[in-house]
Amino acid sequence: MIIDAHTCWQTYEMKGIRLSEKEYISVLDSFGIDKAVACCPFYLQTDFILGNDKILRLMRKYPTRIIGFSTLNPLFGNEAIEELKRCIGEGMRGIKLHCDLSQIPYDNPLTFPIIEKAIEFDIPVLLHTGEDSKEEAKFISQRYPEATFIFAHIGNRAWRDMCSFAKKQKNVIFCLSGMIFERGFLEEAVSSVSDERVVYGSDFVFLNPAINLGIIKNSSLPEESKEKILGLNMKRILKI
Amino acid sequence: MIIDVNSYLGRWGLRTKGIAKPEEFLKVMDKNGIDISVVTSTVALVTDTREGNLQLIKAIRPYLNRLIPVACINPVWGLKEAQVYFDNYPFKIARFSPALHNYSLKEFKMLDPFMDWLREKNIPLYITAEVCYDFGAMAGKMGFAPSVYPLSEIVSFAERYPSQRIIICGYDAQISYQVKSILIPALKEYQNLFIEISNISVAGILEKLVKEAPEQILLGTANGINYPAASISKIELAKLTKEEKEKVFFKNSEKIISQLG
Repeated sequence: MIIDAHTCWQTYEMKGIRLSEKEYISVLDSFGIDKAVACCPFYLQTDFILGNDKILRLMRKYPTRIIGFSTLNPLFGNEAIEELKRCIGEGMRGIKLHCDLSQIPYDNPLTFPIIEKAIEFDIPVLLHTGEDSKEEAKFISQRYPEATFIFAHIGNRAWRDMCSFAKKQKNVIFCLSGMIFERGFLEEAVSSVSDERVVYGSDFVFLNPAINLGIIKNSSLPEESKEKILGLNMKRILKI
Repeated sequence: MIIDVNSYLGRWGLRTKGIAKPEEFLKVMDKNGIDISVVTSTVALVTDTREGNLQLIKAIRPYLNRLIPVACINPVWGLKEAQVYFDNYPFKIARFSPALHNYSLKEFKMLDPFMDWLREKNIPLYITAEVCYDFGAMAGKMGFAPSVYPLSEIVSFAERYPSQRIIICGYDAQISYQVKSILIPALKEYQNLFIEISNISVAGILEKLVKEAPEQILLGTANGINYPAASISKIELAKLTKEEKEKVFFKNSEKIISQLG
């Protein structure tokens, strides 16, 4: 089973990317991806609720394929919490935060109630983690050890630093999605946090799902580890 | 009478929350004495042109007597999609945002068909120079192209299409040599070029622009994202004659609006 832990289904005006629901699913099909986490981070700059509506529509149409994550803008305070309740009530299974798009750092107190709700609902929080946000991501994962954080991109260029950090931070999961394909990246991630805490992700529709599939499948990791990374870990994290 | 030629309807996610409901937006207009607002969807401007445009029309349909809708157009989706906004929906003004959509106004092969069509339909064109304060920095952080579009390219564009009314939106006029050597000469030479003042915060610039091009300076407030009172106050307290202020407040924009289909 392959679960893509990080896809974004949204229009990308700047790059001229716009896929219909059907086209999006057909891409998953073509790569043999059974299920995909889907979220709408670009709507954080404007209407995050509208973005969640899009994901809910996609989930309703493809209930066995799409695992919706509620993208939340902490700026909106209680409205964001209410939106999370609505999304969870309609079947979403996690939260997506993106500090660069919302411009609310993860260590800003506005973020805390959202993480506390994630703990209450027992759902993971997918964090965009780049070079600039790695310290904030570390902070929030340490502040809430009972929450599960999926670090998308593993800090991008700061991946070695993140690997070192997460060794002892057991609530951190690494998601491989992103633009780092540097040799040693996967092996270092697995060596740091074990094959139980690394998950496959593509960052599709922006990036090609083939990249990380290829890296994982062609790695020298044991088959059992590959299976965990490609889907079993996410299945466990999401309790599906 | 006040006409606001550049305002935004819809949630906004960066530092301020925007105004999602038209009824709330109208209340803010009333509070600030704004009679008519030209509105762009925040979602269409930044996130998704098609979804945002259609959402805007749905929201403001009952209020078209006071709200004039702008259709955001990303040329990459083709002319047919743009035409649908004007043929099937009551959009009145088109808007290009080349920096946000990652193309250049020099891409004439792509843009000429749009410009022919806009001219034929007599549709005014807004061009986004910038959205709001520091939006470019955020875009840069995300590895996107800078979201501030060069003034010189907008001016060259206006020169190429002399019969097309072009309204520059969000230009901040921070760099004095640009204002002096590019903007003012362009406004004087090209009567088809206009500028709205929502993002201009430098002292003295507004007066200078009005003195040089009194018919081409328009009130824009970026209401929805910014306080409309900020722009209104800029005019009210400017060292301008009553007649000049009236031109900026409504007379100049009235000329554009009165020609809308």
